[in-house]
Amino acid sequence: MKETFRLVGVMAAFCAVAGLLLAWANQVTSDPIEEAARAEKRQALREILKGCDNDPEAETVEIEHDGRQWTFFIGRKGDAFAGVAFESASEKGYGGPIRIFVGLSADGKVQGVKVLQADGETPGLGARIKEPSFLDQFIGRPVINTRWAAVAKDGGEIQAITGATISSRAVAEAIRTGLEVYSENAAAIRSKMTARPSAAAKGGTP
Amino acid sequence: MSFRREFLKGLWEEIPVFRVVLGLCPTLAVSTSLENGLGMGLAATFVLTCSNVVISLLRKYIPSKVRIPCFIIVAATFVTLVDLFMNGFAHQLHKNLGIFIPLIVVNCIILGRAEAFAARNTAWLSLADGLGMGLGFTLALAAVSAIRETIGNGSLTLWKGFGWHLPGYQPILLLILAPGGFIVLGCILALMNRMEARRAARKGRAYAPPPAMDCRHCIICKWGE
Repeated sequence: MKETFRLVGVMAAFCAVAGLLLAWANQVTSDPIEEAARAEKRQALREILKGCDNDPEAETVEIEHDGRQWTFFIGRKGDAFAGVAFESASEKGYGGPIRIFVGLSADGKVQGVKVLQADGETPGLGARIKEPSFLDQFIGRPVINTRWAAVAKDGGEIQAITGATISSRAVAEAIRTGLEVYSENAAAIRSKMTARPSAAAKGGTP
Repeated sequence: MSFRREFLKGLWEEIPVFRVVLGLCPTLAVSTSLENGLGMGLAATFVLTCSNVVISLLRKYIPSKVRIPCFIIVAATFVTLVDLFMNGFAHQLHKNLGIFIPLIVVNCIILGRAEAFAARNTAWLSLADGLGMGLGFTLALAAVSAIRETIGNGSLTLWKGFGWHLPGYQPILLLILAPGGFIVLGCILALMNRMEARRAARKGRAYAPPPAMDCRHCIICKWGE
C-alpha cells in the first residue's frame, strides 16, 4: 500500500512539474506565435497581390456560399481596384486538408498562389506543392472557364509533380473551387466592395 | 568510461540507425531529401540530449516500476517546449521542421537511451551519450537521405535553395518513395556488416553481429537482473 502511494506520488509530481512548465511556455509563446502567424498571412497577401499599395486585410468582403463563409481581401492601387485574394481549401490532400491563398489581378487572371497549410504531405514528394516550380503554372491563367485547373491526367493543363499526383490534384481542385466561387459571386463582391462606407471614405471617390 | 568514449561510440560503434537499429520509423519517413534528414536529426539531437540529462539527474527518484511513463513525460515535455518556442521565436525554422518535431516523441532512440544509458549513468556521461547518439542519428539520416535524394530526385539540397541539381538526369523515382527507404537502408546495413566482418577477419577474430541486432542480448529485457 505504501509502495502504491509512492508510485502514484512520483508520477503525480512528474506530471505536475511538466504541466506547470508547459503552461508557462504556452503563456510565454502564445502571443509571438499569433503574431508570427499574422505576419505570415500579411506577407503571403503581399506576395500574391503584387502591385497593390493598400493593406488588403483592412478591406474585406464576406460572402456566404454553400453554407461556407468566404473572405475576399481587396487590393487597391491608389483608389482603383487592383486585385482580390481569398483562401481556398481542398480536403483531398494526401494526408489531410490543403489550404491555399489565391490572388487575382484586376483583369481576371491568377496572379499568385501560396500554400498556407499542407501538413500531411510527404516531405520531398507531396510537400513540393509549395515550390514555385509547381505553383508558377497557375499564374496568368484566366478566372473564367476553369477547365484548365486540373492535372493533365484529369484533362486539365497542370503538370502534376511526379509521384505526387494526389497532392497536385488537391491544389488544382482548391484553386478551381475558389475561382468558381469567386466568379459566381463577383458581382456581389464588387457591389459590397464599393458600398463599404469605410472604403468610400478612405478612397474619397469623386 | 570517459566523456570522449561515450560521445564517439554513437558515431560508429553504436550508431543508432545502422548498428543499434533504432529509430527506423523517422529514418524511413523523412529521409527523402538531405535537408529533411538534417533537420530531423538536429531536432532529435536537441531533445535527446536534454531528456538524457534530465533523466540522469532524476534517476535516483524514479521508481523502476513507473520509469517508462516518467521517461515519456520528460521527452514529451521537451518536445512540446521545443515546438512552442520554435514556433514563437523562430517561425521560419518551425515551418521547415514543424512536421518532424511531433514525430520525435515516438522516436524510440529517446526512450532507448533513457532506459539503457541515462537511467544508470551520471548527467555528464549522459550528456556525452545524448550528443553522440544524436549526431550519429543525424549522420545516418544524412547518409540515407543524400543517397535517396541524389538517385531518386537528381538533386542535393543542403538548405532552402542552397544545393545543386544534376542536369539531364532521369531520376529513379522509386528511391524517394517508401520502398526506396528500405532498399537504401538495407544496402547500407549490409555494407557496414561486410566492413565489420572484414575488419574482424584481418584481426583473426570471428565476426559477430552487433549485440543490439540480436534479441538475446537486448538490454531492455535485462533491466531486472
